[in-house]
Amino acid sequence: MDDAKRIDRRSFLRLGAGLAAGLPLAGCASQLLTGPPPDRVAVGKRARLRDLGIAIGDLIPGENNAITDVRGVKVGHVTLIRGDGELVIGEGPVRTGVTAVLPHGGDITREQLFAADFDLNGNGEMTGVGQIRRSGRLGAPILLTNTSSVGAVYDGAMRYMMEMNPEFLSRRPHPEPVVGETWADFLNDTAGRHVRPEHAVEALKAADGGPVAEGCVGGGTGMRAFRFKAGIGTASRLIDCAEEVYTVGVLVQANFGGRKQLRVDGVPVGREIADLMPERGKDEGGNSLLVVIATDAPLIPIQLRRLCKRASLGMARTGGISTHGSGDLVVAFSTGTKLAGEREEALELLSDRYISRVHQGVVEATEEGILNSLTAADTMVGRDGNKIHALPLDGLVAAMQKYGRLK
Amino acid sequence: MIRLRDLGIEIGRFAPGKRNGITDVPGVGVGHVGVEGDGLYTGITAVLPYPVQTEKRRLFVGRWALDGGEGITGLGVAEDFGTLSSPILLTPAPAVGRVYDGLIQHGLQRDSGLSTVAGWPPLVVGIDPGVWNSARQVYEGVGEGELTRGLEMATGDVVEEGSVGIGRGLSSFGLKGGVGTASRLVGDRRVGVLVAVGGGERRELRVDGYPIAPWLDVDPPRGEEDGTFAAVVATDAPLLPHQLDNMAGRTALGLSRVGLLAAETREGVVLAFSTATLGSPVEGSALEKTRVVGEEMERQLQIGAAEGVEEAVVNALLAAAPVAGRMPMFQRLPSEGWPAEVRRFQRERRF
Repeated sequence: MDDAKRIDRRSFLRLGAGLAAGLPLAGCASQLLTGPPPDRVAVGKRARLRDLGIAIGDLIPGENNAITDVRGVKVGHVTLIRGDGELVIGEGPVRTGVTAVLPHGGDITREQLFAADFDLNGNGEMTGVGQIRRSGRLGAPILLTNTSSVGAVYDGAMRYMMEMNPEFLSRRPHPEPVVGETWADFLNDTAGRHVRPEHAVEALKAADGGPVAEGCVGGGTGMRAFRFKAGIGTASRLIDCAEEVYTVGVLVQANFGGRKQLRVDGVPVGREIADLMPERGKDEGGNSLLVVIATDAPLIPIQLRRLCKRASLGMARTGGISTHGSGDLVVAFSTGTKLAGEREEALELLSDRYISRVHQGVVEATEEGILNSLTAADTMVGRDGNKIHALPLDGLVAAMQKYGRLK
Repeated sequence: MIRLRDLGIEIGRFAPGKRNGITDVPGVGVGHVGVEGDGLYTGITAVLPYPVQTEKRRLFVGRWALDGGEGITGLGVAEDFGTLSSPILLTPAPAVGRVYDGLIQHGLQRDSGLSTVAGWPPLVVGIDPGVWNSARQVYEGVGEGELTRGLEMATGDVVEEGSVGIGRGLSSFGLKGGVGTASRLVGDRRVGVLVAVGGGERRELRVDGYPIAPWLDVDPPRGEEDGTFAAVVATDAPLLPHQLDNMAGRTALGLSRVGLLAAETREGVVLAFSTATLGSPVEGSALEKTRVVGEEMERQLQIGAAEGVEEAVVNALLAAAPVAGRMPMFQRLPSEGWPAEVRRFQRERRF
């Protein structure tokens, strides 16, 4: 991190503490502090939680309140929405896509990062985690999609990696793409396998820094949570550690939860909004959460595994209970250490005495990321006319007001 | 005392360190305390990863276990943080709580806050106390006094092997079991191992791949062969916790090759630590400095650890004197007959 940026972040934190002390509403304070970028609404379709004056937790988000606040991290979506009406396998309706996370701006197959994963509930798929556990490293991009598209997306990631580094397959073992999935069958033609390898390549090539589109985009296109429309969500937090300010960012693909479970900053919003349940068909199965955690704090794999576990607490705060049918899978990486891996290297790691601060950032950002996936997502009609309603923002605000969280 | 190399048999590709023992890793100490009484023949072995009496430190640690490796304490910190501060105590299983209690007392003297840099949580590994010991008497006979002596007696010099410390009560391969040690020089780094050898099956016993059971003319008493083992791997190479997990897991290759990992072996744990990685936290700084070995070196170290445990098991059996007057009588592995066969086997294999 260059000095100018460090000073900016430092003064930003001080300003935050001062302003927050003088303001009655955490939500308003955070709006002032974070100043949602003016193009925010154009990027996402509806709103972000903070746009409504609702802020989760005590820590201050990064510039875009997104995983891309961790410098070098890029996100790209390819969204496939095609056809309406009755399901015809192979034709549609199509409500899916792929979301790609590039861990840094360079060649990830050569400059690998420390990484770890955590399997809160295993009824899901995330490829490549065996290699991450053995080697403690990530040498490939991370992609999120729907269940039937994991192989195609994996293949696309392989093509992208071969193009980026023609030598990468000669490294043994070669880095394995990390591809996670959740179940989109209520809205999408699962059996039609509409995501193809080229869509994964396209998402990887489209990946960029800055604000991240949320809701019904990329791998999150066909997803729902708490029986409202959901999908992709993101958030970030700044972590003040002695001589440095680090960032932790989270991106989720949310597809879990019963209506009554939904809580927003502790308020039982799901109990307040009993209507707008999924229409037609039976919306069964598929109760999964994928979480990608990025940080520039220099953490080693065993520390990153601890961060992964904390994503579970962020999920719990939204009301999720990690059901038997869930694939609740978490992967984390640190951009703070780039490894050549060939010879002995000196490195620095964040002292465990400071790691609780990063834990807090992960919990808050996971909670807010999941909620952003709800507030950003639009109502969607998919296969067989099945319909998932968006979380009504006026209803959300009314519930928060009823419980004294908003004026 | 005869060791495997004294019989002209070398195992593996790497050369041993000066003592061919775990204490070839600088700073590591071992203390054995025997406990003997009416109907009691057991003891404890303390492995000190650093001078615990005078220093406060944390080391990175990893683990591998057969059947979950029951009877181990301190796992919360070891597995979640990947760190170790306590000495590692190999004790008969009924005495785990009493030895743990002693380590708490010892830790309180070092740091009343029982912090993770000053010996907490205690890392105690329980091992089957052996067929001739009464578990009740073991429970009553091993406690804080033995622990204190074990820590005081720990030495960084040559490690005694055989029926010493925790090794006194062990049987293995239908022979007298015990404690064995070995080391390897890998590049400019050292890997040292110590194994409490229990369990294993007679017919599976191999030396450098050669089955030697046919050369043992003494039948195992009552067919008693089941039991548990424990191994400690120390290195001065800088390895992170997940790498130490991998290294501990790789020792299964050596333990399997010698036949200790067998159907009758009930459970066992391998702990691996690095003396090189973590320093003390620096006041006012959020960062700590460490190092990490390259991939090729990591693989070489894993091989060294696997070679080491294989040799240490045979060293333990060669050194383990029978327990006089005890029934059943387990014999020491004889040092005649099979060594010539193994040497011939090794010569022929070379071509």
